Amino acid sequence: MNGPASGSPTGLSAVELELLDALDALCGSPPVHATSAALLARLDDEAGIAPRHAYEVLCLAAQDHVSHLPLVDGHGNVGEHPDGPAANPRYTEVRPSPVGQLAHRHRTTGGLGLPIGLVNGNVHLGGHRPAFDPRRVLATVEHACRRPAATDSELCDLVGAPSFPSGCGVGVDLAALTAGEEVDLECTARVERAGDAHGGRFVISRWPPTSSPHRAARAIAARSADAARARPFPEIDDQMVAVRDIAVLSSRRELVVDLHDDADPERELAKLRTIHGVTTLTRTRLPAPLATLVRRHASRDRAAMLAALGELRDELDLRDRVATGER
Amino acid sequence: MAAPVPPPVLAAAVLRSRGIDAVIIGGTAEWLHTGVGMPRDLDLAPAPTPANLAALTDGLTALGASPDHVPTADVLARTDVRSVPTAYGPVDVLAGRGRDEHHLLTAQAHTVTVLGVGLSVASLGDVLRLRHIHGYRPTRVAVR
Repeated sequence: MNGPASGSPTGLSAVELELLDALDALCGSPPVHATSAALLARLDDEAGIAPRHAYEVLCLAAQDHVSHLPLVDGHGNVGEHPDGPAANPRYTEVRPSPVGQLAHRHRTTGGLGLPIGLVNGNVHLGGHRPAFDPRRVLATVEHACRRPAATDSELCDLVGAPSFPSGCGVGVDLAALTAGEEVDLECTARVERAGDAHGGRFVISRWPPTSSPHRAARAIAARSADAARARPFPEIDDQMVAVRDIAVLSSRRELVVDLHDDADPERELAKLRTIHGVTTLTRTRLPAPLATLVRRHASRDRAAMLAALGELRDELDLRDRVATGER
Repeated sequence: MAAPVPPPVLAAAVLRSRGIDAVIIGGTAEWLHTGVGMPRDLDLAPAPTPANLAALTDGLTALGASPDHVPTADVLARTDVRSVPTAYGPVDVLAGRGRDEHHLLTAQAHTVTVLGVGLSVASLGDVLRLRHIHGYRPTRVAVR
């Protein structure tokens, strides 16, 4: 039987595990930053993982808008998933994040699989597993450790629906997903009416895991009434969005869409929500029923797992305090 | 004013409005027959003539596909399947299927009028047969 979420007890992919091993060896303890180029060379030599492939996984593992629990702390331009290219690996530096250190330490010393793969999912890597709320997953595994007789539905209720770091809206047949069936997951960005611009202004944020403001801006431009003007089919033109201007606020990962003066904002809102990128539909599937995945994490050394979950929760608390302090 | 239609259906209407001859198969065809579920992408079996493939190339560009992803007509004439990301979601061009049996699919197809455009939709029998061949799986309805 495979591990909890993929081929390892952590649910992390083989490449992510090799990354953690290489980071541990290269960055020391306490870890210092090393150039990505040095890490990639080591991965190529030691594990036979081609640098281009490893760099993509490395950069994604450093982006906190992609993963709830980033494994890597990156310096420099490590890219912006899904369409911002990273700098050459000579110019970026990496070390294991605190979560990455915890995952590596518990896996190598105690054989414990923290539920990081279950939390992060792998939809952003082109996989089928959605992400879940980290605190809810930790609480559920803890519950399963303390109460081995907990029912499946109890565990599934505690984990809740899929949840992505951006906070995008999620629609899914939850009963089917948690039973391990293949289902479609609909993710929708937040679209809010803003300002008092004529016709209307919408601010779009909280992107689905496979989308971005730049990607959505291109899609909206292609779906604008101006782009479709030459077509002699009024019913098709009527489906296009009456967009006057689009602006990407990169630093806030927001998109501002201004409508033509005579546009009906409610109707345009409905059309905006259908645009690919604002809404995405992704095939998802868990490798086993959700309750089974949770129990696999709780079935080993329960006392050690509870302690490890406490460390992970402390790390989340610290991160939240830092984020609050920065605001 | 009509309610917004699913993006893959709108993409099919845009392509047809540009004169492109292609039979719709896969989940979008199923949706056009039954109205059940939500189509995720558009699967097309285009007529294999050079002029139609050239028009399809232009049509994919009009759908907002990046030039890097749009195959030339020459490539479409040789390739089996190309998946092209567009502003309307993915469009899978089953060029090989078009070469092999566009005329057969057309003979059995239904014409469904959407947004004033007549779409050529493979018969349900062909949709199910091709699903078996290509491993399509029906779309599960998303429930909020």
